[in-house]
Amino acid sequence: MFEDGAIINELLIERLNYIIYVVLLLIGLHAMISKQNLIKKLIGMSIFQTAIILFYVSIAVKDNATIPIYKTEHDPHGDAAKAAVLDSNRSGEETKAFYAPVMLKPEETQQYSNPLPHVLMLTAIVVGVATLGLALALCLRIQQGYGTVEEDELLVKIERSDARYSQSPLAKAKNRRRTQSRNTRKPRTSVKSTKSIGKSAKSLESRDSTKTKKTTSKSNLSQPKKKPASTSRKPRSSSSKVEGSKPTTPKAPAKKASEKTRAPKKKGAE
Amino acid sequence: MKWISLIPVVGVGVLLLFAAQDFPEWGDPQSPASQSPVASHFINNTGVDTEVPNMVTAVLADYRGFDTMFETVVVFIAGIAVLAILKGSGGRRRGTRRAYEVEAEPDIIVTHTVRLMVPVIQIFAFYVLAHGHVSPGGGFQGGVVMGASFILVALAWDLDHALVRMSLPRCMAIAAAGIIIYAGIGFLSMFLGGEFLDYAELEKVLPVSREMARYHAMLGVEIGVGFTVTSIMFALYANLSTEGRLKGGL
Amino acid sequence: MMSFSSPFQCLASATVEAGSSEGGFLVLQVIGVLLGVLGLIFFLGAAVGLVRFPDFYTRLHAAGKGDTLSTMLMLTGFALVTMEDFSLSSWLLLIKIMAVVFFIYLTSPTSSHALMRAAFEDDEMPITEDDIKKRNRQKGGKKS
Repeated sequence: MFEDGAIINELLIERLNYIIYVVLLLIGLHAMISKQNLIKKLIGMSIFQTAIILFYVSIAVKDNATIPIYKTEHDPHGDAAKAAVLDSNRSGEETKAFYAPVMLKPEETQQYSNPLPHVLMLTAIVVGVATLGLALALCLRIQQGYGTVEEDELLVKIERSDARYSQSPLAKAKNRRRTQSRNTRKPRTSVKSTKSIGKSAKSLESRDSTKTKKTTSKSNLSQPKKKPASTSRKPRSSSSKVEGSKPTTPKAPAKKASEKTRAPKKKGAE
Repeated sequence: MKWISLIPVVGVGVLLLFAAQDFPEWGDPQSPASQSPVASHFINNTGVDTEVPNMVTAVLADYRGFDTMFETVVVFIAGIAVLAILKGSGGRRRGTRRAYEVEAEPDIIVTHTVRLMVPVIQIFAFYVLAHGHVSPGGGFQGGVVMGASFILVALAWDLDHALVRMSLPRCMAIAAAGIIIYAGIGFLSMFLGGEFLDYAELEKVLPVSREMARYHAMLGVEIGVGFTVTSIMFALYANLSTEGRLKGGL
Repeated sequence: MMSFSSPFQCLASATVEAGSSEGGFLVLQVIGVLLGVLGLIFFLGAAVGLVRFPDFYTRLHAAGKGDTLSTMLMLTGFALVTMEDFSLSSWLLLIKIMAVVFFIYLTSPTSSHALMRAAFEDDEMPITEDDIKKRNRQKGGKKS
């Protein structure tokens, strides 16, 4: 079982570090794939990075070697090297002129481990910190905007707000009528508001819409120009409502349209 | 349906374990990573080209100086992005507090310990930064230790107490100054006739040999990195802990 | 500039050679190993207490005290074991490790105090004998 070449010997004794790195990597990968919570995903990402770092560092390990910092006796520019040069020509005062750095011998090179993996992992750690901070900030912003960092709840909420941007044809037709009325109203309200200062803006708006419904034919020319502005303005007012509302099925746009059409009627009746 | 995610995970695991059989053993001196010409080149030439005994620092700040410069820029951009995402997002109305935010006096034991520790931590940060050429250390490590000292102040008292010493505009100014120092050294060596970040050309303005000029230029570069990392670490903490409001905090 | 760099480099070589060289000051090594074992025993106590104690305060009591003492003991033992010869490098190593011990002595109780205070301000009540009796009664009731 433990003889040379057996798989247990190969994996569990000589290459235990690789087992650990694979296990860590899988934990991170699993967390990133299957967890719903964004923060847990980030934790998985960090574990994944740690696994990669462990992999690089364990590859760089070298028996009978030290960290990649010159020992005093090996440093080509160190005191020992200079003293050796000084010894070799006792007579000369201008040893600095004679002094030239000597490269390490091959057997001395073997005493140091490879510095490159350490450098790369230093880079990886720093970039990892930067990405983690950025990701946490994004999570915080998502939490502020949608009130959750659970992915499934988040998807429902995003779908609902998307549905408001791109509505069904039926709702669009209804919407168009309303946007038209709003477009025609726009220049007028400025005139009218000067007249009716004491009234609230809402009642004013509703009265306008009921009036302008009759006279839409005039505004048809100016509609395509102004439409993007009005559509871009509308979702913003609705998205402020999304935050507080509970997740329901994406029937909301139709409901909302009916709400809006109902509201002016009431006011008009008053 | 969670078990579906296990399929790719197990698949990747089997592949990696299969590949792990061909990896070198733990500490094998004959492994490709230890025998590569790059490794021996760095080990042999670092001491000859520069006067820096720490090969990691030399490779980081000199041979791969371009990489490290943009790594610092990455850190800087991350800090700016966090500011841009969180600044003015408001979170909730001012004045309202959440249940876990207790209005607490700074604890006397904690503050006294922090008072004792912060100078030591900051001196250690300078030591790690400046001594990074001859011992493990460098700009990133020293910068993180330095940033941690400010975070410790913010934790022990409150964020305002730390922001008095390191306000956010000051933070970003220092971070930008770090990158300017780094790039400035690169451009200076370019104007002196070398290539970008070819530190050896600095011997024309420094009264030292070419090897020692690289040593000093690396120190300057590390200081720039340390500036950026310190301030970005603190800016990250200040923004993340208060949702960008920079008030109250943990 | 190189002169002050040498202690660390000596240190690096010393740590590498520590495994190979059989020599060293035997009494110090024995004391160091004993301290390390003692620290491990305290650490075990801290771990057991963290699991077994009933409420937050007693758990942190075990973790804070046991952790601090065991870390300090183990580090002191490590400092003594690495004290091979009384050369400059080993003295430097000793001073560095004892500095770490000192800072752990300062900071670890402070951190556990901060945790305790946070729990206290969060109205976490320590468990009382009545609570334990009540819990036992409930358990007994369930069993019977």
